[in-house]
Amino acid sequence: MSGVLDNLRGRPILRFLWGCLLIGLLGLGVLVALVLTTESRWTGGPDGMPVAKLVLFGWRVSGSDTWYWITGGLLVLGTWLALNLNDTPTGRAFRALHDSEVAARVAGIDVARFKLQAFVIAAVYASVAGSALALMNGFINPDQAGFLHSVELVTMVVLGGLGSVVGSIVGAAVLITLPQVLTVFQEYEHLLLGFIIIVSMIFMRDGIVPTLSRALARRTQS
Amino acid sequence: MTILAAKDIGISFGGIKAIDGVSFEVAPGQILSIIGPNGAGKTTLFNIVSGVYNRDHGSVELDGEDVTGLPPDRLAARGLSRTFQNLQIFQRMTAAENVMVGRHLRERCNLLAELFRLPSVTRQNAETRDAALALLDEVGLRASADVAAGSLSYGACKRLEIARALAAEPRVLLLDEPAAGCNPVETEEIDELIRRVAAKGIAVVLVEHDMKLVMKISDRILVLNRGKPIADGAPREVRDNPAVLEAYLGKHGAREAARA
Repeated sequence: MSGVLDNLRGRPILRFLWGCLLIGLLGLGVLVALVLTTESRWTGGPDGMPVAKLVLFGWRVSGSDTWYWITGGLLVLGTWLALNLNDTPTGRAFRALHDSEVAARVAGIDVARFKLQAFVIAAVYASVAGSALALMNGFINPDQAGFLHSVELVTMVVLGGLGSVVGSIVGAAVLITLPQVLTVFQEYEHLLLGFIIIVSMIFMRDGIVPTLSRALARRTQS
Repeated sequence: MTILAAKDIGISFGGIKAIDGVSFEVAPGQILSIIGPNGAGKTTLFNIVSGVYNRDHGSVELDGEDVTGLPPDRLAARGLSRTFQNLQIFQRMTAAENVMVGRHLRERCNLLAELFRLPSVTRQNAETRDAALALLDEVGLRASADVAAGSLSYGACKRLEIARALAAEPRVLLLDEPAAGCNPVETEEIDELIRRVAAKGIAVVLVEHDMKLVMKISDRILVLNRGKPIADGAPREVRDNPAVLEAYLGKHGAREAARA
C-alpha cells in the first residue's frame, strides 16, 4: 500500500524537482506531520491515537517478548533481502548511480526508473517498520512522523555507513544505545553525544562499517 | 557505409560558441580522431554526441536513424558507448563489478527474483561475471578483478573504463583521451587495444593529445580550433596542413615549422 503511495509521490517529484529532490521530500515530510497533527478527527491530533492489537489467525499478538521476536525476525528478513539485492543487476545499478550518475547513464541505466525503485523499496521498509512500531505500542502519535525523527533516521544511516546494509544496523544500534550509556555523565550527556558523532564523522568519513572493513582488508593484505 | 554521423553541430555557453558547424562521419571498423588545442571543444562535441549535453543546432544520426537529443541511456541501448576524460569509474565497486555494470543492458532486471535470489539471478550473475572477466583479461586487468576500483592506478582506471564501455557490446565507441596520463608502455597497450576493437567492426571516435598515437592508429583525423573544424582528412594530409600547424603553434611557430 505505502509502496503504491510512494510510487505516486515519487513520480511527479522525480520529474519536476530533480535538483531539489531532497528538499522537496523533507518539505513533504513536514507537511505529512502537520496534517497528522491537525486532522484530529482521524489521527487524534497531537495526542495520538490507539492502534488495535494485531490478530493473526485468531492469535492476539501482544507482550514485548513476542514483539521482540517478531521485529527481530523482520530485521533478519529485511537484511537478507537487502544483502541479496546488493549483487544483482538492480543492486549494481543502485550502487553505480551512487558513485557516478553520468557514467551509470552512459552504461544504459535508466536513472529515473532506478531512483524510483530505490524510493519504493525504502518506503516499503519504512512502512513495515512503522507498522510494527504502532502495532507493538498499541498507540501512535505525530512525533513519529516529525522532522527530528527523520533527521535521526538519516543520522543513523550516515553514521553507520551510506551504501552499507550492515552499516545502517550498526548506526541505529549506536545511536540508540549511546544516549543510554551516556546518561551516567548526567548533564554532559548531550555534549558527549555530539562530540562522539563529530569525531566519528571526521575520522570515519564513510561511516563506521565501510571505514572499519577497509582497514581490516588492508591489514589482511599486508 | 556510415554508422555514426554528426551534422552541423553547434552549441553556445553564455554567448560563446563552444562548437560551431562541426560535422563528421565514421564507418564500422574505422578509427576517427578528433584533435585540437585545449579548449577547442573536443570534449563538448563528445558530450553532445553521447547525449550528455543538448545541442543548439545540428543533428546526430546513429545507423541511419536520427538520435539527436536522446538521453545517454537510450543511446547506449542503440549501441553507443563512451569513456570520460576525467575518470568516471564506480570507485566503491570492484573492477569486475564496474565492468558488470557495463553489461546492464544485456541483463534482465526482475526485482522480486533478485530480492529472493532465485537460481535464475545467480545464473545470470555468473554469466555476467564471466563476460566481465573476459573483458578485464582483454585490457590486462584480470589480476585486479576483485580490487576496489578506487585503489587502481590512473592508467588502470582508463583501461577499466574502456572495458566497461565494451561490455555493452557497442557499435560505436567514443574514447575521450584514453592515453592521457599513461606511461609509454601503457600507451602502447591502449594503442593495440583500440586496433583490436576496431578490427571487430566497432567504429571508434577518439579524442587524444598524444600525437604519436593519433598519427599511428587513425584512419581519419578531424581538427578543431575554437569550436570550428579547420581540417579533416588522412593523418598525412592533416599533419602537413598549414592551418593545423598555425592552430597548434601560432603564426610564428608555423613559419618556423615550415622552414624546419
